[in-house]
Amino acid sequence: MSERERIEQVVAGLHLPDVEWPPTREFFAGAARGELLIPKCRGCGGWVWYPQSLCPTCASREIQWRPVGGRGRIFTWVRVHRSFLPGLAQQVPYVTALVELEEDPMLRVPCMLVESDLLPAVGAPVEVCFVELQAAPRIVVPRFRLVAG
Amino acid sequence: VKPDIAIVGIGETPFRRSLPDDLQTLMAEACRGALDDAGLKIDDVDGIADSTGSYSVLHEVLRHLGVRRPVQIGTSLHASPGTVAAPLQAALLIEAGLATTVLAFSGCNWGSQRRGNTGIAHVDMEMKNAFEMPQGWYPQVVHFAGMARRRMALYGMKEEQLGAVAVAARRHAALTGEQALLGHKPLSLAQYCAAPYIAEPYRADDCCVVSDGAAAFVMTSRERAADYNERPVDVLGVGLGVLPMGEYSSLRGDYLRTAAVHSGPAAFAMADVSPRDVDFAALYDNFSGMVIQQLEDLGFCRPGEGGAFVEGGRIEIGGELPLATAGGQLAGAFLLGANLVTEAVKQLRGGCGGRQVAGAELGLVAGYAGAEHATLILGRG
Repeated sequence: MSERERIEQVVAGLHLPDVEWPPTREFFAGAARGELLIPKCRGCGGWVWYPQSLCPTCASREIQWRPVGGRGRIFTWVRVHRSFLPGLAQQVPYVTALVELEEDPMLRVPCMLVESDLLPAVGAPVEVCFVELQAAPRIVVPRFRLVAG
Repeated sequence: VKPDIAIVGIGETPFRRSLPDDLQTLMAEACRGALDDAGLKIDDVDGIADSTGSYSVLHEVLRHLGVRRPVQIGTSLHASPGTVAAPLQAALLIEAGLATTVLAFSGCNWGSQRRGNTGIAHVDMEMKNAFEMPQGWYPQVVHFAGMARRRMALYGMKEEQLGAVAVAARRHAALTGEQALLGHKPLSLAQYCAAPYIAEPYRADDCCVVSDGAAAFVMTSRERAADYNERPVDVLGVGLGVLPMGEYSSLRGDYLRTAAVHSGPAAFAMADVSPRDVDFAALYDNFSGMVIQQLEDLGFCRPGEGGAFVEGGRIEIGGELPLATAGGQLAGAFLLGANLVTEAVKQLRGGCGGRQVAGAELGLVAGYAGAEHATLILGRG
């Protein structure tokens, strides 16, 4: 296989997460139930985002996935007109954003917006929703939508 | 540390969209060019300041170069920060008595290997696989467009200010000729504004070129430098900076600032100069907005003022602070840093024709890679 062919094979699947990968399995299991889960340290009470098995604040390994309210604000956003991921090529132009969750502004979640014909503004309020990307094996991911307020 | 070394030779392959040679051949050719420029032989080289980040690439380059004698290898940061910081590694090796003559190089063959499919970079970072790619928050152009959008919201940066960075790079590329990939493609601000977006607010002209090529430079003590071919260029200051959160820019507490806030002051202090003393600079222009960001982070202007700074021809040759004098990475070549160093050396030697910065005595080169930044200050010897 040429380097070029290898790259194309890798890139073709990048838009689908591996929902069985142990460090993030619970996140996707939560999404499949309609819950947005974020890891929290039982030792110091701090959020641990992105997930890791050793708390960067207190070195505890007692880290648990906890449901959050799913509301936040647009920290920044990008409308993408040319997808470099073939799996998203049918969706352009799409809007993707960093959402800061209301629980803690340092919880920034990258997320596509479901109604991408509306252009958001930095600071605009949003709420989570969930989208099934694949039926079998089932892959569900969070998205966000703009809300009034 | 007060570096007491100079750059005595530079080498470049042709910079093209696509070249037939593999990466190690390109890098070895650039290194040979740097040695020839200095009047050195490969057996004179006893130190390597390595920024390949790769055992296999480094040793393939040394094999292609025909390195036979024992060499010391110094390494610090990665990719372009590693190349731009290479003079600090060279100074440490030379001043410790471990080496006398140190080679540094970088190169890239993404022009032939990836052909625009930049989606492959960073696929081994698994949190990106889990949280970013499925959300379309990928690849780099999207990450950096997010920073530009945030800057527009916070500071009122305008798209025309991004355009001013792209237009200056293209103008300088035209003055450079065929060694700049887009030297044949002039760009006006009106053309810039009329072009379609890739990832708003970025258009193709805001993005670095994807190219094949390599560049190299060789360093020795100032005392020995007098013996070599060309006018030596003195290493005056080198600063390194590292920020938390690694490659996950989405998580960085201070989302916009780069580690130039650390590398810049360190380099200026070592060189005992200030931003006002700098005659020209090559900031790391992977995307146009990052030039504006580094102008602020390095202290050329205050936070939030970088957008206004680049307007009105200030960053063009003939202006107050010419940037990307050979087109930089937006219009010249994307080689992970070494071509920015070789161009600064050419400017300080003089004789760059239509793109020569008049009276160039002090130049600044910057390398950036997510969490890392390096600042190098060079002076006419």
